[in-house]
Amino acid sequence: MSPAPQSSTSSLPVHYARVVLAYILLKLKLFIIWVLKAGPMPQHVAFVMDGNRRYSRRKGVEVREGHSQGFVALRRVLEICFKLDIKCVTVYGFAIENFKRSEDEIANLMQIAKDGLNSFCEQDDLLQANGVRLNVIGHKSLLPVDVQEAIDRAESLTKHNSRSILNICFPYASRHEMTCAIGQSVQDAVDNASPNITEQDVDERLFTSQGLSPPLDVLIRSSGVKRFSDFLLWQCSENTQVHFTPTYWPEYGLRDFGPVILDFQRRMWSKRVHS
Amino acid sequence: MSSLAAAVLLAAVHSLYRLFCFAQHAWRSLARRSTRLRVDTVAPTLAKIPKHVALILAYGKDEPWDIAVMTESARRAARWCEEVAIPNLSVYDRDGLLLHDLRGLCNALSAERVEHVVPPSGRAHARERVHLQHPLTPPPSEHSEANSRSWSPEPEREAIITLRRAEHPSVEDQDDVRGGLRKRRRSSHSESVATAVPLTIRILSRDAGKPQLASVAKSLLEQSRALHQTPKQTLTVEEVDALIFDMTGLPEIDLLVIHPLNGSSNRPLEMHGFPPWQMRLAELYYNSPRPFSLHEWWSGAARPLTEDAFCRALREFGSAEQRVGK
Repeated sequence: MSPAPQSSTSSLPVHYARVVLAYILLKLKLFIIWVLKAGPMPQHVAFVMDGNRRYSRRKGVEVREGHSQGFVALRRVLEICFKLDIKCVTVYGFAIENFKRSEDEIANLMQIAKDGLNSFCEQDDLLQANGVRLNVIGHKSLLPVDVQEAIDRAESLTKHNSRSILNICFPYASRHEMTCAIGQSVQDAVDNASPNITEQDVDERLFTSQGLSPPLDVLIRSSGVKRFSDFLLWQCSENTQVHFTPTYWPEYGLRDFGPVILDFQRRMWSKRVHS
Repeated sequence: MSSLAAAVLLAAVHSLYRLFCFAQHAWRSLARRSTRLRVDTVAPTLAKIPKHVALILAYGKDEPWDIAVMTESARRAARWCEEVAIPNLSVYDRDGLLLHDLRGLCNALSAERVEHVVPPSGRAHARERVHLQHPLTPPPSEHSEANSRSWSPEPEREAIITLRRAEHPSVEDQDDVRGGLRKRRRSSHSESVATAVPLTIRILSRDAGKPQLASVAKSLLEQSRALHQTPKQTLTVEEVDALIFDMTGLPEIDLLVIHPLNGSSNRPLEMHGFPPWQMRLAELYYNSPRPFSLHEWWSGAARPLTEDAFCRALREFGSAEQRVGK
């Protein structure tokens, strides 16, 4: 009997070490989440998932790979949020201005979106398992028909879920949202013969409000860019903590999100002491 | 029992985190102490200059504020904007404290001796001192000093006061204030470094933000009722943009500096009700409180905006890449 090749016997301990390490890291992550949950949690967190392309350039891979890793990061972060019992998560999936990108990149992003929406529809997947209702908000009529159909299917399948909300802004621009809210409030005031339109009337007609999202507590942008870029401007203009992190989105995880939660908790406790 | 254990562990984590944040901030403040930036050294190195800088003077409901410190911050910002030739400055505080003390602000601006960069040929940084005069009303006709300037408040728009120079010595740049960025021309001995452009100062409060957007909706409602027409089905972003500019006169912000007045505040960055429409593409700079001195940190006294912070904000703006969706 010939002896086993040297490479397969030497790789087994490495393989087992990796499995053990992954298990330890998973348990550590769950432990950290358990500790964080002992304090106050934000009700609504928004993410600007920025840095996929710069990540792909740094890694020397194609842009499509960067976007794919970005979707993996999205699932990872959503899992953390739902384990932390955060009631509403909003993500900036695609800006209306992103239609200026190359046709190839747009087609790739649309395919990732369609595949992701279809995966969300699976029974044991993230949304169903965590009782998450999906809202896709924005100027959806600009999207290809097959993507719109995937959106309708995913929203329909999750519409009875009530534990949490996931808003995917796709394609979205905050000024467009505010314009729609203003237009709708004017129309409703005419229909109801209301004498006046207040700030509250406009607020109630934002896409996020119509999806029953609570007020925005935390907004996070990855990749080091320090701009809102037309995202949730109305919602974050007051009582929202804004965090800019240099980490590229495909690498974002609990190591970056944990300090954000700690900052939020410190602020909440400070408010309670002073009130 | 397990929730008690988690709470105890969380308290320990917070203590360690607080210690880490303090050490990090103290280290950065010590490092910056040896490299305090000045506008006259930073300005020539900037690749691009914002056309509109907004300054949020931030304070919480539970934090003290000081109108003198706020006025001083506005005065300093105005001076630095003029040195760098930034044509628009907006100063915001949530509750309109500066708006209520406009006379104090104008007096502070009146006392300012501003250095204008007026380069004669062959010299990049010649300066002449100019004494500003700021009557609240337009200057009398016999006021004829060659180098006098007056700040005149424009007719009030709601929740916003605009101060503008009545005249200026050499206006070379008549950029559209609503347009994009103004590229900085690299200096040479035979070329001007910075053109002297008139500075427009706007003083804002929260009422210049969301309530104005509601007023846009109300004006559209009144218009449709007056004309007995149904409201337009597809209101566009451009139409709302034009309406909000007509109402407020507030152009889009290029650089937004958030300055917490409280030196010991541990708040993360917040926008304090700043007008949402105009901050769409603004580059944000958060002048987070740092313990420059133990006294400042311990006393929690209000602190004015520093030249170093203003320069760092300009530098970050100058190096930022705007992809605009691409």
